[in-house]
Amino acid sequence: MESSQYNESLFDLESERRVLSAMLHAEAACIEAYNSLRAADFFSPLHATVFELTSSLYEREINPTFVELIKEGRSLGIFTNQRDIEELSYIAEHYIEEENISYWLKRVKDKARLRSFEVFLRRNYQLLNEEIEQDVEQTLMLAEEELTNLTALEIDDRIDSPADLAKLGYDEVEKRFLRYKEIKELYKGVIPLDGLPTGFESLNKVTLGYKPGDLIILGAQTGHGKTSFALHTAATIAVKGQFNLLYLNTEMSREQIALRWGSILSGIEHERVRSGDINESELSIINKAYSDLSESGFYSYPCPNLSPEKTVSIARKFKTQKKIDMMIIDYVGRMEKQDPKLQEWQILEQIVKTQKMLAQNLKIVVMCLVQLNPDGSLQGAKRMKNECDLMLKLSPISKEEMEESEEFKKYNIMPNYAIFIDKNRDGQSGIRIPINFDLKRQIMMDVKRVSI
Amino acid sequence: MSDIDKKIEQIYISSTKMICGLNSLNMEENNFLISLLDKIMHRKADELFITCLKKWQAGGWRQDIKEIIKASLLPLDLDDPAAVKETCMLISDLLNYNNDGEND
Repeated sequence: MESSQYNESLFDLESERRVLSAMLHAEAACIEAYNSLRAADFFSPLHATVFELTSSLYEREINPTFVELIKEGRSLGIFTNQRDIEELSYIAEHYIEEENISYWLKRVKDKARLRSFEVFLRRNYQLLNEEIEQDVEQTLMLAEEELTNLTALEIDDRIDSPADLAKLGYDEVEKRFLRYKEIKELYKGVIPLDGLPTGFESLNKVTLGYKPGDLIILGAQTGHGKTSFALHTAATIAVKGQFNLLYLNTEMSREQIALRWGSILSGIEHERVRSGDINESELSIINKAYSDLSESGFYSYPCPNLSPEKTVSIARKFKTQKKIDMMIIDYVGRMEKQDPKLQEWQILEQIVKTQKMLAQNLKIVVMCLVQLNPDGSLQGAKRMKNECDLMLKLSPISKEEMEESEEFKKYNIMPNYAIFIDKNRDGQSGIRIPINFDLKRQIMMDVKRVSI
Repeated sequence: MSDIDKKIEQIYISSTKMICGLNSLNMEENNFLISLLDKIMHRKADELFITCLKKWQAGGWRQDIKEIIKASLLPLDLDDPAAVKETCMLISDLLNYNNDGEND
């Protein structure tokens, strides 16, 4: 593409260079650009190539430095002439501060949109000149549709026509009908999930699993098993299920998290694992447990100074590089507050809104752990409930209830904890699921009803 | 970015450009040199390895020894610490062998 053919308002080579330069200098800028641009947004073919190569290096977890970029290009038979090297050097030299990246990204994106608009105008002008007899109504309708798409696509929005929605609805029902039939015939009634397994059979049945785009809130009082629930979920999804999961912890150290796993996966009491009071054969069981962890999809990121903005950048990075299916934030109450003037509930609302958008944009499941007040209520509960797809509350069953309830005696193991489904966008809510929480081993498990 | 970092960055870019422009080097030699430069500029180079290279560069070695060292350096993956360590040992052995040979 010769730039002389184009009006200068349709491209901005300097902005393209600055975006690429930022990608070569700062990881945060690289993530931003990777997520918001495509190679086709660059006017210069060389810049488009540089963008593609830099993105590809980043996807493979290779730090995209100037030299790595040259080596990558040369291995593909490009950047072999001195003119390309000159241009690459110019790009690398024109460094911008990473906090300015949004400004330059917008400039590149805007020019790309203008070029699409220019192509639209040219084509329609040509159409007018070529076709003498034409259906005016249809020509205008087509142009309008194309122009609307040009702007609508940019804001990543979609309006379903009645026909679109009807087709989508029928396809979904048909898919479920066929699946139900197959289950009845093949799997003898065990329902396959729509999303990731929850780690509890009853919760699987009610939710059909945690689905991409879902925001799940789990509330519990201090010391009532938030982290154990998170790690039980992680064990189900990342260790047994081999899906990739990112676990952000704001309170615990790397060592504490690692030790917890030793107990959870080996079934040996946590206190004994922690103090080292174990025998030789238990040590070998623990060794096997850590070998399972090492082959799992569990990525841990202890981060005491976590902020909502940081979760966005970390999640994007792990989605790009590790293709994570889920992120767990343990827990939101300890996130850093950007604006000290905001009330606690306003901050929580801001956090959950960000996490819901993140889940939808990255098509991952996000689980946020929140702290319940001593009376079991939740700060800013109404707003949180509005944003999330599934709200769960975890609490111990009182001693009195355990002793008096005839219902609990019908289970194979005596339940001592319960998960209350406070909200479920896709199904039943208001349900209380009894479970057993082995505090010594930090293990949660299903309880099964064995008598009527 | 501080002024010093900017200066270092400029040296890094200019040096890379200069190495890429050396027509006397083949692609393999070129890639080794820019990879080494990358490691040094980003402070990720193995110190022992750099000491070995400096010793080699000080000169005075037999031609066959120089060629063996060069042949073992060119395919070296600088991101592989075990391979770097192994190559360091090889270079040291060769240079010692060269000295011993001369003393004999």
